[in-house]
Amino acid sequence: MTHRHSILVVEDDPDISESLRDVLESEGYPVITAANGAEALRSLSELGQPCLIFLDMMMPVMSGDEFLTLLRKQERFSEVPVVIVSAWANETRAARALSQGFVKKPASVAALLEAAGGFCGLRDSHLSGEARGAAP
Amino acid sequence: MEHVFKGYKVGAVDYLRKPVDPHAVRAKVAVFVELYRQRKQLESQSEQLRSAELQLRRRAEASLQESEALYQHTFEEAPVGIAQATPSGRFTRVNQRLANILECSADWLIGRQLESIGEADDQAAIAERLARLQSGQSLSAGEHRLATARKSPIWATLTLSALRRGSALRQLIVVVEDISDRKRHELERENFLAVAAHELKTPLTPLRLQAEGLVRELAQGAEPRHDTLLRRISSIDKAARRIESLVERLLDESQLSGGNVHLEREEIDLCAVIKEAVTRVQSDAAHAGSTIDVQSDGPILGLWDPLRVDQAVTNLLGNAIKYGAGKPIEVKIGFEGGTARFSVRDHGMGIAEGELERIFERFERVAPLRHYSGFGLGLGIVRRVVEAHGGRVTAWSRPHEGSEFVVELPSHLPAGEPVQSPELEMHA
Repeated sequence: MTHRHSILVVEDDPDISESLRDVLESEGYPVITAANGAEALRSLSELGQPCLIFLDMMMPVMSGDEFLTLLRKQERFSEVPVVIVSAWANETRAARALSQGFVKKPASVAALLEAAGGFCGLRDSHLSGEARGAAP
Repeated sequence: MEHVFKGYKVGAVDYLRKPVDPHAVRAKVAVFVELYRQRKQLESQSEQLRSAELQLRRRAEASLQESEALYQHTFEEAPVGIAQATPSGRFTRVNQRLANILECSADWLIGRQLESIGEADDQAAIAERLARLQSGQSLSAGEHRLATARKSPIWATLTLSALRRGSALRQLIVVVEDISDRKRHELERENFLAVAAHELKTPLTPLRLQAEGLVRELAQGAEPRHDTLLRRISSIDKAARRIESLVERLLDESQLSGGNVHLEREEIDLCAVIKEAVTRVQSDAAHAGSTIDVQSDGPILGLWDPLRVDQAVTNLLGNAIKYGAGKPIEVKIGFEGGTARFSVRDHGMGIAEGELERIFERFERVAPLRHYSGFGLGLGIVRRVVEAHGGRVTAWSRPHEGSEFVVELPSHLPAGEPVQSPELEMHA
């Protein structure tokens, strides 16, 4: 199954990034990865709108909240759904106001696929409600 | 008789008629001698009383002086800040320690209101404590943040006690104990636990996603390619190893901070240890966009603990990769005068001068947490390992130009032992 839009995974840890890609690609979602916020902004300007961004918070060069603030300032990306994937529940409060969902690390496959299904297709929307607030 | 009265007038006390009767003379002399004796006795008793009173007074004065000296000593030499204040809370006397804690002069404090030593947010709470004493409570104590003249605010335990005469409040005694160090340790501990939990969750994420994902796909009848399967299972294996190494690092740090570092020295080649460590972190460096260039002519032999030296090298490399901003990293290894010397140089964000001293402290991180993870133990471990070997580690850094860490390790090889170094090789 292919999707009209891809999912952008912004994550500095290569192993986490790869595992997110594996899980999402196995469900047929095209995945683009970026190692930090700055790289993600470059990818977006080249590739255009993704259907969803999975965003880590703590990253070198440009952190998740810095990325999110800049992203929302660009009119064409002001509505792109962003789901934060982070181990810090408290520190991400401000960023969560600018995002559409939050998945706490260590993330489960069900939570990721529910978010992906909710924003990028209809698959797996019956999965558990671990991706809190992920429904559009 | 006329003569008798005249005699009394000018000071006589008795008279005898002539011809003098010897019996009468004896009797009268006896009476006067007895009177004189009694007067002398009274005088002596009075003198004794006066001297006893003087002695008592002197003793009381001495005791008062001693008591005052003792109070003065206790007041001035106590390891806590002490002040006396009026019932309304104005300082009338403060010890030097309190002035030191608040980084001001004792004179400056006199006449100031108790709550004014608190940080803005704490002043109301201190005033409330004062009010409680004014309304009859005898003691009130608690932790407050106090303002200091120069540095940032400090944490202190503030104890107020009331001196009363009857029910009237006569004076307040204020005791201030600086607990900033304890508070900082508590905070460090909390931060450390939060960071440790985060660090452990990082490898747990790929472990869980890969394992769950594969179970799910295989259960659905998917037949992943052999190489994909191998890669994903390897990723699970790698994550498990990462968790194991994190747990070991945590245990190791608690062992290192417990005091002496136990070394198992053997003759090793420092260049080989460093090159091995570089090979191990090569993929992390590549992911961060950095290359690692090693300059050495090796081998450099010494009596060192291979695991500990590897740990120190790995931490320094990890640090350079993490803060190296994707720029090249240079490692130089040399030997001079019985001491091996290696340096790790990055060209990243660098460290501000004021923060350079802190980086070897436990749990210290000068980089903001939102960008960089890590326990904040790495450089502390480097220092402890290097110092246990009798060596030293120094750091040079400039913001936006990068950092260089230089480690010096005495070789500890007996004199005369052939130690090969680039210099020696040149002469050979």
